[in-house]
Amino acid sequence: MKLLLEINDLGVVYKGRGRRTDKVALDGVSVSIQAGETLGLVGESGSGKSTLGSCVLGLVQPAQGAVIFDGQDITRASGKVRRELSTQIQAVFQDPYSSFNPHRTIEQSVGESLTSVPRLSRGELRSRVVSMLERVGLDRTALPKFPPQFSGGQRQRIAIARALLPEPRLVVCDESVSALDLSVQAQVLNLLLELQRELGVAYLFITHDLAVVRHMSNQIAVLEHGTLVEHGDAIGVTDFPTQPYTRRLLRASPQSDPDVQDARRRTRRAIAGLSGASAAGPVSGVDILRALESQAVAESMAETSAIDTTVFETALTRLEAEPVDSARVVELRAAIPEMAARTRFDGIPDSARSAADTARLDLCAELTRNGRTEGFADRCRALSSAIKSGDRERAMDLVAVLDDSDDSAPIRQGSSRGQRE
Amino acid sequence: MIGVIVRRLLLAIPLMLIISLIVFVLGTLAPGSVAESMLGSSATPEAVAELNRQLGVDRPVLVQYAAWLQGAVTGDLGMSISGGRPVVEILASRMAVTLSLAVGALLVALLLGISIGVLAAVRGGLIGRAVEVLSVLVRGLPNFWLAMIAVLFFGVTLMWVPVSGYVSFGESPIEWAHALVLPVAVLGLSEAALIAIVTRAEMLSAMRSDYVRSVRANGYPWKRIVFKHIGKNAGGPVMTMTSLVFVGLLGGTILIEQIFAMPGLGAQMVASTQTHDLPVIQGLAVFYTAMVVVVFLLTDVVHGILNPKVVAK
Amino acid sequence: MSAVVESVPSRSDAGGTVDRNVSFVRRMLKQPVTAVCSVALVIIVFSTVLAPVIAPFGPLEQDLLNAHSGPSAQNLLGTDQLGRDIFSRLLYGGQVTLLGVFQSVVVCTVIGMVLGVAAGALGGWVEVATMRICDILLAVPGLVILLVVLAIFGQNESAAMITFGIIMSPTLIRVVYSATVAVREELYVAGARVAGLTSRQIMTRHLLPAIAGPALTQISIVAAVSCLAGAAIGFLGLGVAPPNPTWGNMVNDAQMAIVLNPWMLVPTGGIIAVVALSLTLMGNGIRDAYAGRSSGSTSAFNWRALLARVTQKETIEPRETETSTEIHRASAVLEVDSLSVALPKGGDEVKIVDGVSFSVAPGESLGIVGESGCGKSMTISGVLRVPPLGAHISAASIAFNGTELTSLSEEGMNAYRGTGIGFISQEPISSLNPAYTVGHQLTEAVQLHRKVGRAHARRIALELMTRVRLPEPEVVANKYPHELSGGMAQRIAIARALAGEPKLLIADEPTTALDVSVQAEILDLLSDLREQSGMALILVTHDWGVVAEACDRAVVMYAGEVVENADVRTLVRKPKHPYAQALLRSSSVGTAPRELLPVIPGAVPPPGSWPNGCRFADRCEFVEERCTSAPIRLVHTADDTSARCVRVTPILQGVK
Repeated sequence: MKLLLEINDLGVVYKGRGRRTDKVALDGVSVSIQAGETLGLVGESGSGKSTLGSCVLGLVQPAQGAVIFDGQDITRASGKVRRELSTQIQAVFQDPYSSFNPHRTIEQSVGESLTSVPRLSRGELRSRVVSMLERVGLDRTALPKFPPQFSGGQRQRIAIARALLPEPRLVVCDESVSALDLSVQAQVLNLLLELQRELGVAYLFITHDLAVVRHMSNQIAVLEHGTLVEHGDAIGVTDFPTQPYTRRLLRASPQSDPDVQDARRRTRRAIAGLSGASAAGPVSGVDILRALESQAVAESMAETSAIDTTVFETALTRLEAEPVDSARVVELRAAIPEMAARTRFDGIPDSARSAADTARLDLCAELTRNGRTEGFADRCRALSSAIKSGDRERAMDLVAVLDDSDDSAPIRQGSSRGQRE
Repeated sequence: MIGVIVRRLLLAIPLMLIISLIVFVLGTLAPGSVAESMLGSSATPEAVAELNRQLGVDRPVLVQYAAWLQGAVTGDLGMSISGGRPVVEILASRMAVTLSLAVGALLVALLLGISIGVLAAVRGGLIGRAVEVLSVLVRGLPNFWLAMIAVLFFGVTLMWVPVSGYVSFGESPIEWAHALVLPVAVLGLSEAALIAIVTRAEMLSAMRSDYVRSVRANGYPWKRIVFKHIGKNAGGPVMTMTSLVFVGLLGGTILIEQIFAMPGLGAQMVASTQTHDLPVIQGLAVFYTAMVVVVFLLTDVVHGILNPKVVAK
Repeated sequence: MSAVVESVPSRSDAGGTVDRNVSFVRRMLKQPVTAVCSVALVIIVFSTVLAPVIAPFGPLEQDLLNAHSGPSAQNLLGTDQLGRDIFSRLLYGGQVTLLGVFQSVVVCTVIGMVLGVAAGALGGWVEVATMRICDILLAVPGLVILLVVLAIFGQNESAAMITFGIIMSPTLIRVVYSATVAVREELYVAGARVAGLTSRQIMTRHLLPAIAGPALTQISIVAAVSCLAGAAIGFLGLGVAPPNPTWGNMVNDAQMAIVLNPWMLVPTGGIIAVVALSLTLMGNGIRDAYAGRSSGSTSAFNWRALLARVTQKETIEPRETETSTEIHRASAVLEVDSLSVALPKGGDEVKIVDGVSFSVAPGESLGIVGESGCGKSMTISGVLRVPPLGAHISAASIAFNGTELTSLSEEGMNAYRGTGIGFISQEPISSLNPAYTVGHQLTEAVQLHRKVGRAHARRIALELMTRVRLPEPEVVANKYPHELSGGMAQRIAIARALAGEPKLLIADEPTTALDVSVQAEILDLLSDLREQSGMALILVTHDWGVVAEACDRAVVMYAGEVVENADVRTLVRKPKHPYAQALLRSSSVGTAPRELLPVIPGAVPPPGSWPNGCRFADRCEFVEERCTSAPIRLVHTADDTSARCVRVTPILQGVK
């Protein structure tokens, strides 16, 4: 497929004024977008994500590198070239309130993006504006109105109409939905997706919201302090990230599931406790292991998470076929954190990871020594079935008692067997 | 804080240089030479040229300026053309009048302005409205006209205060004060309104701020919020306004001295303007600027103490 | 970042009071004062221009026998010391004075606009140089320089007024400059550049309209000041020399005769006052018309007005929530019953919060969740009694630990604010006073709430900073808020709220302005603090993730009402109200990428346009006839949940 936009080794420095030092906003970033696709650009404040968008739009001059649009180097394009590009590259900005000049009508504001198109009659311009407004869910009554007469969501629709009016091939969406409420945000996201399908426009989608970027993008690039830390397809980056920073971001962004949040917080605390940074006192490897295991189950139970129980299931089946020994038990137990993407990758420091590993070996050895491996296997089977049947409370109960010495009590064998059959 | 003072002082020096240079260069642009005006219209061209050489005004402007500057640094601002007295002497003899007026009026403006401003911001209602009306009146009414009406009323009709004149403090402190009451009041009251407006506006904008809402929600008593938290933040802009008010006030002293026939710098300025006495005018302009610089420095320091963010910039 | 600010009043201000369809000039002339001033100015200018035609006498025509006469049919405004007609002299004198004003204004406008726009638009050294020149010119005493110019150029009034225009230019430069910079930062200018507009097009379409208002305001002030300065020159006997009249030297004549003929002061000074006042008032009119507000809109605002009106009312809703409230009632830290908050709008009151009830148990964490404009922030403003200007709070009861707060005075409230209920707001940095170090502010809070000495308070403040996990408390204590990151500032704000060891902490969107990783730290901190001290927490947020992370119970608000009140787990998994259901569904978290999301059509109805029946009805997929006929009551259900929906009971029966 042909690359629509190519950004090579882009670097931007904001000159410091007076005694302030220069600030490197972007440092050697290379990304690309294919025609009709979406590249999500995600990062926290100061990551340089908006600067990159501004470079593409020609609002900021890079110190190094190149911006290549459709094979043409536009890094330092200015004046006439830039004006011609304006029909090809458009933008939707964050703030629906300052995106429009309050003194100009909607017709003037929306029609503005066709200014550089020569020989367009007034009537023709108006009919194109009207059809675009209708496409985004407004009508011609909006033409003579002024921006303050519209709500934030409506303004963002109008901003989209303005951007798409010249039928551009690339739209830079800089935090376009960040200022919108959840219900309006969903409407605008849908509108953007629909328009992309209809018109084949590509988006450079800049946001700090991981859920939104995952939802919108084909490819995602993660920026931190001006450098590119991770780049790949959307699912890969958000569900199976490889870089510690991406993991940290994902871990920090909250989900609307209280169990998952509880479990995540427990893991965070346990890890913090290991490095002595917690008020709750010293923490052992066992605490970290248990926290990870319950988080894995919690994440698996929340329907929204990316889960993969195949390793756990494989380990369980092998347990049926082969004699239960210490190695098998360790393998089975190690499969639990593998169930959920977030515990598998959870950007745990190496010390915590090895503490958990040691704890796992110790606990399993104890199980084998005390001859309680069968009970453990039973609990794991019950856990598997609880996860499959979506019985959240039971799964959470079970994972909490994996090491329990009283094998029978909390399992309620009957019910688990019954569910399995 | 010392750093701020040093930096402002360093800025003040070029300011003084630029102002004096402008005044000096403007002076050399004057049609006709000093010698001509000294010798009168009957003088021969030779005599004029001779005097010009004696006065040194046939040299290039910058050389003259350098010479003047050299003198100025050592306290010599040249000689008055009309009176033949040293300019410094004239300044010294008249300084007290203008300083009494200006400083007195500034104090009145500050005290009254801040009190009214705070009252208007806290109590609002009539006082708030009055401050708004006053603000318009002060900008719109000529203060020399108001001064005359005051003279007519308090001086002529009621005869509470002398209509004109000035008695030095050394001579009689009571009469000094008595003579100053009306001019200081007229000058100070009109500027007080400006300070009141800024005080009120700044306090009101602080009242809308997030930190005031936060401390209110956390149970701080209102006096502490208004006088400590809001006061310190509003103080900075009030100081900036004060320095601008002082600039306006200096202009006002010229008119007031004229109206009350006070022998100050302003009266001298007007007289010298009429006689084209350039050395005196140059000296006066530089002295006025110096006063402004000192007041700017003081207000900047206070502003810096009140608002650390300004220092950071 | 994504600051979803709940700003109903300001938004409705922007949309409601400014009618952009009415042209700027017409809006200006609608103000009676401005209209009168404009007419007066036009008449005065035309009369002076037409002086030779209108004036009954020549400016120098003397009638010594008729000197110092008062107003008469022959001499409308009387005569002066030489028996000259004052009215005629005013007309002729105006030519000089007004010409001076014109010269000064033109010079000032040209310099101000060119340098102001250049400095604002170009930036760099042009900006620095221009601002330096402004600083210098602002320190120049105008009248002094005028005299210098007059001394040098003889009695040349034009030279003086042109110089005055230059001296007056820095204020205009600054006004134009800051307007230009403000516009330059506007996204619509970036948008215009992206749209391919040339610099000239951006200048004429976006820049000039934006700076016109502030610039015109300033220019009219310059005109007024020039008029006064020109008059002052004349008064001092400089400028155009007598016997030729100017307004200024006529005042001088009046001064000479002040005892003999005080009347002369009236017309001579009066005309100057009328012109200068009219110009000033016009400036105000332009400013107000430009900002789109009626003049004197701030006169109602003051500290006293900031204190909200509170009334206690009968409970409006029969206590259907009794089962839940009874449980809480005995022990609740905070119990709110039928709280309403109304804001003034055009002489009327508009309800922003409408009969909200909830309670918080000790140690419990309650989320108040909803979209912007639903009244969640206003609810806690009502509880703490810190709403926007002019708000009217009414409630059947707001009980804190059994004490009725609605009947307390402002001072009475202060006994509970801070020590009973702590508060942290959305913008961490701006919620701290920029003029004091954070250490000072913390110490102050400790001193206030714990009545201890300064040194002791400082020690406690440092302990608090350690508790909120600020590294190096001693170092941070000496910093000012603007030197801190958002996360650090929020920790300070939390420490300040903890200074009084409150039993309840209210946090209004405490993490909305922060990055996600900082948000997680702050939420963890709040949870830990709650566990350690057993304090209750009310957390206002629009983010369901934050609710799930940090709350036990949650109240969902929609259009000023509570629509659901439930345990967070129940709420997230089995929401009862269709709004909560739809809202949770429309989240993009964990969805199949690039698939359309299920959306709620439409938008939250703004305050003032709430329907009589269910406020969610026109967006609801289950809407029935009974939904829209009458107000819907909050229904309590078996699992300690309340929901404001007619379908609640059936839904419950279906599930169980």
